[in-house]
Amino acid sequence: MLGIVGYVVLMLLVSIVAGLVGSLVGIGGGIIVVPVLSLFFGLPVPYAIGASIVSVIATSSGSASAYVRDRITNLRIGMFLEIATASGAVLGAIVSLYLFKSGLDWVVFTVFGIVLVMSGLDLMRKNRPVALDVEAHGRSALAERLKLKGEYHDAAIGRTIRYEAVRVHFGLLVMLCAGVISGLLGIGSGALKVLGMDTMMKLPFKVSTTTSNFMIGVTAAASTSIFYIGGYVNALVAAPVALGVVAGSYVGTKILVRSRPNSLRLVFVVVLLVLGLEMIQRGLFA
Amino acid sequence: MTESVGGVDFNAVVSNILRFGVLVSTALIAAGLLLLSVEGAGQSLQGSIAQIVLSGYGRPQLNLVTVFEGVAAAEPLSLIQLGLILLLSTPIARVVASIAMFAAEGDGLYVAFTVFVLAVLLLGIFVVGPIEAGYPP
Repeated sequence: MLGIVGYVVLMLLVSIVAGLVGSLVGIGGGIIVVPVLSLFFGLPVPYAIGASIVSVIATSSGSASAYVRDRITNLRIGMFLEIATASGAVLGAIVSLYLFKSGLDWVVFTVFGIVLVMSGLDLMRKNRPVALDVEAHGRSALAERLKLKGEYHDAAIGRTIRYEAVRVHFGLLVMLCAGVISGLLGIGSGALKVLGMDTMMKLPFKVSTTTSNFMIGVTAAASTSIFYIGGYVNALVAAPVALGVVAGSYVGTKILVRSRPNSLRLVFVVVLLVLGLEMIQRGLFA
Repeated sequence: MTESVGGVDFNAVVSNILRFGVLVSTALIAAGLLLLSVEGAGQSLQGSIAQIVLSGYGRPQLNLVTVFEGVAAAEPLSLIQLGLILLLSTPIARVVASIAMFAAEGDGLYVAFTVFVLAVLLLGIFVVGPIEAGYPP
């Protein structure tokens, strides 16, 4: 037995690595933290989720502050879509705790495993082109009325890019799903939010990623309060996890500003797949 | 689209809320952890981390008065809990600031959207959370 301080140090180290590697390959730390806490530390799922989702708020808010200042984040689009993500997150948290209390936590393990495997596969082919002009996608009357448009100055190519959202209904639907998954599993589900904005609503990739990051904080807060008041955000677990993930991802963003090392990404793909299969195995056969 | 109304740069306000909230809360959490390690608090507790957690040690403190009393007495767990509560409040404060921003711009539609998001957050805190904790309001 390690004793309390030993466990805290161990969780801190694991979270630093999760935050560091996560930010290097462009994925949140929560997706690593929950399986590690539940599989290797033996914590019941809601306690693992409660710790992870707190770290999600911290990393998202920390980096969002810089992007909001740079005016790349679209506050209107973010606030509008948060209607769906926050509602979804409350729903997801209710379902997550219902499943746990009914002895159905194998469902959470299995869904988490599937999300891990999908994230791993998604990361394998992640090499997105830089979005240029978005004028060519036609107009949406709804986006016009809701002012879901904007412009930002892209320093990399030295020009101002104007954009306007399309297919707002589909975007909202994807955001609702992203919110449910965030609340259910205790992760930021940033990849799904970005998918909703850049693939569905045809927003520039930079606007999608920064606005997604901006929305993750409110989405996570919606479910975190439920996990906290419900009694699942344990100080002993949440503190080292939040601190570790924040420190790790901060160092990660300092290490490299632009390029993402391919070898590291492949290692991370393997980690995601192995953890995913382990979670599915635990859910279905244990 | 400019977010500056009446000389107030709302992007900067929102940005500062986020930065300040994360900085102060992580500092509190770090102080609590450090103190916990130095004092060796809870060392008498035996068993795995899961057993310690399930025993109730370090469970969320809901009474804010108790949290502040603990912080005044430099209790490690209370410092962490205040940090966690502050972190959780940061996005909520950001939503409140956004309501003010859209109101100042005279954008009633977006005031309504943002109030809805705030209502969802408050629903979690005052209705769903207490039900999950087993004591309805």
